Amino acid sequence: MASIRLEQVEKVYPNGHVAARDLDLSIDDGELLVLVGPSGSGKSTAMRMIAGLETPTAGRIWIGERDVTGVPPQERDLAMVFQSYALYPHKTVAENLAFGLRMRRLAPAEIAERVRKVSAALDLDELLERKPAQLSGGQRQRVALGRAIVREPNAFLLDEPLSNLDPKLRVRTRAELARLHRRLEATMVYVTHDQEEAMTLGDRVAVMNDARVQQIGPPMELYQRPANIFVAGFMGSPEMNLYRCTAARRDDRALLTSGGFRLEVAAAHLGTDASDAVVAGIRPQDVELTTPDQTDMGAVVELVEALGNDALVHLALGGAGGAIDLRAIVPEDRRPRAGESVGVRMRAERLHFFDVTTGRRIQGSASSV
Amino acid sequence: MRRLGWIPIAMVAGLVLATAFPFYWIIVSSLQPESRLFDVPSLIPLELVGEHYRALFDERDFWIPIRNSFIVAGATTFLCVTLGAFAAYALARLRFRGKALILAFILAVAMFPQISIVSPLYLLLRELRLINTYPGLVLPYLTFAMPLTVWLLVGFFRQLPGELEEAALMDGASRMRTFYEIILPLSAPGLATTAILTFLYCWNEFLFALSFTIGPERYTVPVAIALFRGQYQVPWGQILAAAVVATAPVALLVLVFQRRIVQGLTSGAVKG
Repeated sequence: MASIRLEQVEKVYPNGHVAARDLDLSIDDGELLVLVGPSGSGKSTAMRMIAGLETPTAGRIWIGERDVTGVPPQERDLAMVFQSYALYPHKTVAENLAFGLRMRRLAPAEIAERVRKVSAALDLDELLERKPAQLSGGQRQRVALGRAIVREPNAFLLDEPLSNLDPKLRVRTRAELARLHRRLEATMVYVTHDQEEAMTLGDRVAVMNDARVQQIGPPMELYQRPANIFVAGFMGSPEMNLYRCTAARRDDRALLTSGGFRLEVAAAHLGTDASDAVVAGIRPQDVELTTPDQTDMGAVVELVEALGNDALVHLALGGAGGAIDLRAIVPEDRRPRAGESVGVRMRAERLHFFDVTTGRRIQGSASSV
Repeated sequence: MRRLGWIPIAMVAGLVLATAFPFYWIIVSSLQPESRLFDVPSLIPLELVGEHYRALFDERDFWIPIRNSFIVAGATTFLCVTLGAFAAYALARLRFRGKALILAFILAVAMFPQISIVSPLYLLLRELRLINTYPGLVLPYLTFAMPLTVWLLVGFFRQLPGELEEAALMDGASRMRTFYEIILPLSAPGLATTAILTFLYCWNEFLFALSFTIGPERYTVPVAIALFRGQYQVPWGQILAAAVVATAPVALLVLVFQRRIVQGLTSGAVKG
């Protein structure tokens, strides 16, 4: 296994489209890094550049101590699992597994031995003589994974490997992948658009948007201290409530208002910049619902969605048909009814504040660490 | 499916009748004795004889043009599909400068009216001493068959999911290795269709074959039929019999592979 490093990598297509800019990533030996972002954010391009399937227009890529920027994919010794699995349709499962080893001119006995081991580990023994068309989605996925593992490559690249599985199987395979990663102590780069997958799998997660890495760090750090508005909105489910507020400062206090949203916080939370506008965010999990008389922020329940133990409550802040929506998660046994008037309480230390113009997190805000 | 009214049915029936009738007429006439051919025409054969077919092979050695046609069409098809596959793969998948231009150029070559290049080709072939030889036909045939092959195959290769090749590259296979171990086996239907179509074009070709052959030992089927001569009259019966013989392998080929051919021609037109 090996580490992977991207230095100031950039990819601009001939038509002027920028797919990646200022990419600085370093993936430690044995680490699982998740690249997460919406479609078109550049995460797949980043992975394809590591794979060698795309050539960066600037910057350098290193695998271990070797500069591989101009090296073709065949010579990088990386294994990739594709979203479509890309199994060779005319080859049996056994031949699919053996193909990469044959290309590396391993001795037939060694190939047979490695295929046997991987097949046993992934429970593929029954399927070895079948063609991909005769396999179920989950089986194909395992073969695709096996084809990568059998190679014992420098690193694994996984491109949305779970997105073609049904939800149940996806969760199970996700856990299997995590176990596999620990067992192989393999360097892995994992691309997904699913923030939940990113949170559960990654040692570290890099959130991408607009061809750039927005933030990189352990999942909980991204969740608790999002570096900007994009990360705040992207990580976590349901989505964080974000409001653009006017901030009226009086001494060391500041009153934030935005439609029905009204909250007084210590001015220190808003940083040193004395701007009179700020974006405030709060996760649905951090919103508390009380009776209307206990707080000065009132709301009307518009819709309640049961999630099992919890319920997701959609509220109109500032009364029915009010200017802004608020999402809150409450325990199932305390769920309000639609149409009910409630009070809303938010603890200032649970709020995240972002600069209106740059979108960056304001130091001094939330702190739930 | 919606039931058709009688008007569309009648139209289709009329169309089928109009296309099929000449073939029927040829087959029936080729089995009539020469003397009956100029009688009042009758739709139902009154007397069936095999004399024209016998004459075709006994007196005229019609085997020779059939053999020639098979050799020329076969060699052209083989060259087109093997060389064309490489060219088409490069044009379909590799990134290089001027690709669109090359594709347009290939198409333009195919658009040349045959008659306009007969004379220059004749002079060229005479210089090369290739008149009245098999290569003297195969090489000119490549001028129209190759563009056809390349265009058809480019369509096929583009259809294949690119991730398969990327997977092979990641697995350590070279471009060439990927081509013949992944791409070729998967394009077998496309290659077959292309081969059949190319073969048909060459089998039917007349103008080049007429211009670049001199003696009956190199005539292809269409040329041989056109140059049938009797001592005092045109041997219509034998010409008709020859037409049947020339059509049979082609018709057979198309009937056997018709589903594939239709698939091939429309592939790339719609996804899925």
